[in-house]
Amino acid sequence: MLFIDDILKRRSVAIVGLAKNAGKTEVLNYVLRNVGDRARWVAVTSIGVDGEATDRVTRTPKPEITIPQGVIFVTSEVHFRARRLVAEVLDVGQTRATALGRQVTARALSTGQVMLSGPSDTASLARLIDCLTDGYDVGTVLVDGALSRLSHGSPVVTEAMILVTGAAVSASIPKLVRETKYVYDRTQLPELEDVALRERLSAETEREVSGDGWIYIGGAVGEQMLGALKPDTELIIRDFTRIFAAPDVYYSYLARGGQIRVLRRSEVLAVCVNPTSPEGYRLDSALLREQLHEALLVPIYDVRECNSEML
Amino acid sequence: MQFRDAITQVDGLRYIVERLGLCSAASRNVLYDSEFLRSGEAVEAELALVARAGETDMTDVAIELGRVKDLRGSVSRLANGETLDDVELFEVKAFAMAASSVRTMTDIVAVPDVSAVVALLDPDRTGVAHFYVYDSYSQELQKVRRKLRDADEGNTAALYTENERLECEVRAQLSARLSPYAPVLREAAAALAHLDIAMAKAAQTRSLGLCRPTVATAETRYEGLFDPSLREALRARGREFQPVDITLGAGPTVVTGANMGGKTVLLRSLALAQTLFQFGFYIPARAAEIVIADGVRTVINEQRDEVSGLSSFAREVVRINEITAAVRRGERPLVLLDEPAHTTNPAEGAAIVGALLDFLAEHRVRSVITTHYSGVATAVERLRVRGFYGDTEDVTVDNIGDYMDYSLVADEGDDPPREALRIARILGADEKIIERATKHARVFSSLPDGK
Repeated sequence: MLFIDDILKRRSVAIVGLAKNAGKTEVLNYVLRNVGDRARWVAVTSIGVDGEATDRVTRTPKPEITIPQGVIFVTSEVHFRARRLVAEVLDVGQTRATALGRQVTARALSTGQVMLSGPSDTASLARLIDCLTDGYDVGTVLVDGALSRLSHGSPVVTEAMILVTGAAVSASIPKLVRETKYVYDRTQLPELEDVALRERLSAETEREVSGDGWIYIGGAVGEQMLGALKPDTELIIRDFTRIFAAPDVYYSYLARGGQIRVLRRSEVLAVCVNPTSPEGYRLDSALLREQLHEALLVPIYDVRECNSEML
Repeated sequence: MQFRDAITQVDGLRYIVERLGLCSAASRNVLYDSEFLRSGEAVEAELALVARAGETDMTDVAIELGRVKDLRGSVSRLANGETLDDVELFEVKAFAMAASSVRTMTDIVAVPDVSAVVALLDPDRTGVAHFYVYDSYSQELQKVRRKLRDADEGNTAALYTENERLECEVRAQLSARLSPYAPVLREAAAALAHLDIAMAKAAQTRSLGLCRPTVATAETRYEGLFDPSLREALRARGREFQPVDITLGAGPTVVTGANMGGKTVLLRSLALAQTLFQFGFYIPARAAEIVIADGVRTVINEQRDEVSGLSSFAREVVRINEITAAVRRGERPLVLLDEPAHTTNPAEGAAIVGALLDFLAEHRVRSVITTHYSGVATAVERLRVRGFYGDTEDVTVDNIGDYMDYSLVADEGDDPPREALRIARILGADEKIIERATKHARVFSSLPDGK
């Protein structure tokens, strides 16, 4: 199982859904089910308030994750109380992190279900990953992540990512491929090479800093800004999730010779697809995978085949 | 007065608190709830504790204290006979284990014995501060869990429900058995917080260069009194704070001196030092002996209160009324008044200051009043800021502080200090106005009584 081995070699891996119901949970459950005897060295949490916000609108229950015995999980007090597994409390946060209460770190003593609600911002997630790997001998932290402009948390503090896309993103294969490629292309933006500048800008609280031939934008980069930037100025952003522009604006900026560098980049290990939309519409899985593979040239897996362990 | 109120009332106290390195967040709440100490013995005991905490290597204790969470909620629930959940039981266990360790590490603070709580929450004697409803609490639970582990996934709902029911039973029994320990847990929490606060105070004493004051009964005396936040701000600009020596007798002390002579800073430093002293802190000075006061009452300018719509004079009258009422009730606070009545006309202003001084002298209220007015009551201690020196030519707006001697000297004369014109000139006031003012000043001073 190359996929699992690849994941367990990384210190932290985010499972990132391109849309709500893209199939993130299935992928995360698949990975957890297959960690086998390495469960004690695996931890799982989530980032971003995106899930909760959407749930309040659609009133659909937040999907539960099945935690195998031995795995450490980090969730809020409220969701910890609603768990359906035997778990040992290892630590509790000092302060109420969110409306869902303090952050609880626990180890599953039986296999069972829990809802994950981890840190809501990137800095807290980075601290949590350090704390889990240093304090509990965790080898790999899995992060249930979402891409959303509503979210303060970006999953791009993890070493690697798995992108999850599918019919929930679009019911048309060409459009789905285009949108997935757009996300994938941005994940490939090169990291800023100047290490000293990278560290300086990472600590920067100002929204905008410029230097000789470069400009750093701390927040979101919208279409207007991208359209107005001179291509001879190198644009530096925190990570790929900070670009909020239609694909044509983005690609035309690059076509004009625009350079973009990121402070943080995480490697894409694989792309998983879910050919079934939440409304039940089904795309041709083989065709979808073939076309995605042609466009992205990375391993493409079917989420449902993850489920049936045919990977 | 509680510490949390003092932070909003006493300038510079927030600076101290923000730099207090407490190991546990729970201790901050205890500090905020602590009371202004009104007895010399209580202050002395607290200062002795800080001294001991500073003399001993507390590294291991600090690690244990870092694990302590705020237990108040859980302990109240225990005391009320409620059932705690796993997270709360975890907190109680982690706390009891930390308290037991600290108890063996130090005797600076008496930590009550909570080993019975540890025994209840660590039935397998793992010595690890993790918690879940252990199998050993119930044989029935043990059986269900064995089945749960062997069962196929998707076939566990009923077993899990049974597991949950049994866990609830155990939690209820455990909570009932822990309930009698609520008082001793509270005492232990208070003891650990007390120790944490003393250790933080001791560490800060070194980092800020504070001194241990002694409790005095007649005179309050400071050598090298300084304002830590202002000192830091000055250092950031490459300048040094000039510490001040001052002795305060039983009645009022009048301080006069030039504008920019540091009179307001002096009052703020006095308020801060007295407050710190009576919350058991070391104080920002080279040496000090301080008389216990029934509180610190200040009327210091710059305390803006625009919301109430009162004029600055009206505001002052209200604050001074509060002070005289307190004194009439028999309280003897340290009273610090910054140029009272300075916004009204000089003749009446001087009369008001005179009356205030009479009142404070009559009631023997330790107090400091800064003023520009001359000819006020002579029966009180009078100090003058030595003030401005150097030639006007060398001085600019930027370096004027370097030509100011902030030290205090006894003042015998009746004349108010006449440095305002000189300073105004340096500050770049209109030359024509200064010339005219100089002429007017000559006329004034040639008249009898300075009127």
